[in-house]
Amino acid sequence: MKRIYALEEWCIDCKRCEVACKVFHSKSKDPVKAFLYEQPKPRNRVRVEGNRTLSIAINCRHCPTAKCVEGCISGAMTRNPETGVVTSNPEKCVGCRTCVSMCPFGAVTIEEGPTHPIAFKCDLCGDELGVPGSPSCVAACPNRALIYVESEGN
Amino acid sequence: MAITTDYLIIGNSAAGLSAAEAIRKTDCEGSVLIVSREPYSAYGRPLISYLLEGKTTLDEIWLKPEEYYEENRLQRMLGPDFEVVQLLPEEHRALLAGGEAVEYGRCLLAAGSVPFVPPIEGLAEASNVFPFLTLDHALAAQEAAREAAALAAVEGRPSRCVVIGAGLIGLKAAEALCGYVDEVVVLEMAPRILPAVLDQEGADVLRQQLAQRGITCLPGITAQKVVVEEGCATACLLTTDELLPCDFIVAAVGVRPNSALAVDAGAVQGRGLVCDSQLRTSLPDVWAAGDLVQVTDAIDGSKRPLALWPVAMAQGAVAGASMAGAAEAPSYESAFAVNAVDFFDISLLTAGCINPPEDGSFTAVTEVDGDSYVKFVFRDGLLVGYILLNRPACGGIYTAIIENAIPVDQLDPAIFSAAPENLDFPPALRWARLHKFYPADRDRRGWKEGC
Ligand SMILES: Cc1cc2nc3c(=O)[nH]c(=O)nc-3n(C[C@H](O)[C@H](O)[C@H](O)COP(=O)(O)OP(=O)(O)OC[C@H]3O[C@@H](n4cnc5c(N)ncnc54)[C@H](O)[C@@H]3O)c2cc1C
Ligand code: SF4
Ligand code: SF4
Repeated sequence: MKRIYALEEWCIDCKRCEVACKVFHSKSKDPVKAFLYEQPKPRNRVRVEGNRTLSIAINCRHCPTAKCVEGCISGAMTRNPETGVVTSNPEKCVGCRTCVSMCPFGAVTIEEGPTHPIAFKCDLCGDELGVPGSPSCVAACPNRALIYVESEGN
Repeated sequence: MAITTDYLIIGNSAAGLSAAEAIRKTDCEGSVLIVSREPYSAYGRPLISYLLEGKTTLDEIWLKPEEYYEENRLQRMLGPDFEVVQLLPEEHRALLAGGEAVEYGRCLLAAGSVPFVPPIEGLAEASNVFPFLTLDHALAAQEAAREAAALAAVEGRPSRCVVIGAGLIGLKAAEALCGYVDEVVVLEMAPRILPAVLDQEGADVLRQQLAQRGITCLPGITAQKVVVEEGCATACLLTTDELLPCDFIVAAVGVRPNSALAVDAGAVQGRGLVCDSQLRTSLPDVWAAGDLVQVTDAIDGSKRPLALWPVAMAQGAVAGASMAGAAEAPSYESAFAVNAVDFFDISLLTAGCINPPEDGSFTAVTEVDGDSYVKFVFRDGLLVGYILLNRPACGGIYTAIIENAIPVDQLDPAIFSAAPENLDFPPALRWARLHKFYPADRDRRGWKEGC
């Protein structure tokens, strides 16, 4: 499958990936409305760690044997066997944080959802769960510190 | 005529379904039959409290869409008639409560846990005492809570539910019922709540937070007797000799491995079923997975069941692969507990060793900061356990540090004072962690040769 890889050598901590992710996952797709007015707030699923001397954008690895899927108590977190994409179904998620306690990379967060807090994670910007799209973070990175390439594994 | 199947899976939950999925990865042809005494499609067992809270519904609680079973040709027989009442491993037969027999090639026991009923006088005979292990239990408790609230309103008094046992299940039941009755009182024989997953200090912090949200926990106190009038429990006589009136009771003092079928057939049992690294029991062609398996604790080497959902899923995958004779069958050697629970807006993650023995080989650091309480336990330069009360962010990074036994001196010491980061790992390890399956034709700058 195609995976996103972060290259810390090029990352300049500008957080444009976070902005692009948040806007893509908003209702309005408009940065001003998304940041200031939408409720519940749109969430970025990529997260930049570090500071200007060393930083890296952390994204879900779409693990072949995904700990978050193994742990999910509701069946919300699933891995599409054909595409390899791991997504969480907001309708089924109860916000228990089992996935948070299992993900080795800190790639899932629990944030306010339509009725109760639920899991948010990278969905590769697909239009439907489990189907990859074209990742907004990669397109937004000014420095090619995020690449979306065919990986050596499924 | 007996029913025949290549694979018989007893239990339609985490372990059973995970095994069925693993069998299908290797064997697309063999017939798979799943039997369960519960009359429902597989549901998230831990979700029963969330259902009462309205965080899931009877439309969403099911683990898999119905088409899944057909697509994967998993036959199911669900309901009381399909409870397995006897296992005859030599004959490769299982007898069902409805009178039929199943002839199988290989069998998986994934029958989970059964509630432990404490020997409290009166408890067993009252009709308004509920365990909290199944969807039916939860729906019955919900009904009792609604009736209690209505009756108490008429009588002009507060409605009250008593939960016996402040373990995970008891406290989740308390949280769920809190939205229905006026008062929920949780009794716990041990000196602290969540005795298995918290230490004293953390338990005290959590207990206060639960109290602010309407749940009264009484650690160190339990019921010595249940007062029963006309078949109904009306009060608990506490070990302090006080009488605590109640409308109904949830009994959640603990669970036991539901392994009687195998034990009666002669299987070796310790604190759970004893299995090899492929999760084969001592009986011929009988595997086991989930709550009823005895697991070796990766940290202290002790042997006991680890009654947790992710553990059941992982074991099901191993047992299923082995049953189907997968070429690269994984093995199951040991595990450690990772618990994630939330109560209202409170979050609690714990893992591994939390209350280390005071033999000098462990060190622990703790920190209280506002509503949060954090504890890390170390041994021989390794992280072996944690408590994260109200500081959940990126908790899985700590879990990975325990699981992969990453020496603490390789990590940025800051990793323990705030949410852990991937940058806290040394460069080489960080690259290896974050760049699995990295394309071979690119260098670390992301460039292809010559570009
Ligand atoms: C209220 C509650 C909350 C929980 N919360 C969490 C949590 O947050 N996180 C976590 O990790 N774990 C949690 N757990 C524990 C978790 O649910 C179990 O570890 C998990 O369900 C074990 O899965 P299993 O497949 O081994 O067995 P079970 O889920 O117990 O399923 C057993 C299956 O076997 C069937 N069965 C039993 N006997 C027979 C028989 N004789 N014949 C036919 N069928 C039979 C049953 O009908 C059922 O389908 C919770 C449990 C409860 C009750
Ligand atoms: S959320 Fe974490 S565990 Fe799940 S697939 Fe992504 S990186 Fe892997
Ligand atoms: S928070 Fe949601 S996605 Fe994560 S384990 Fe719980 S139910 Fe599954």
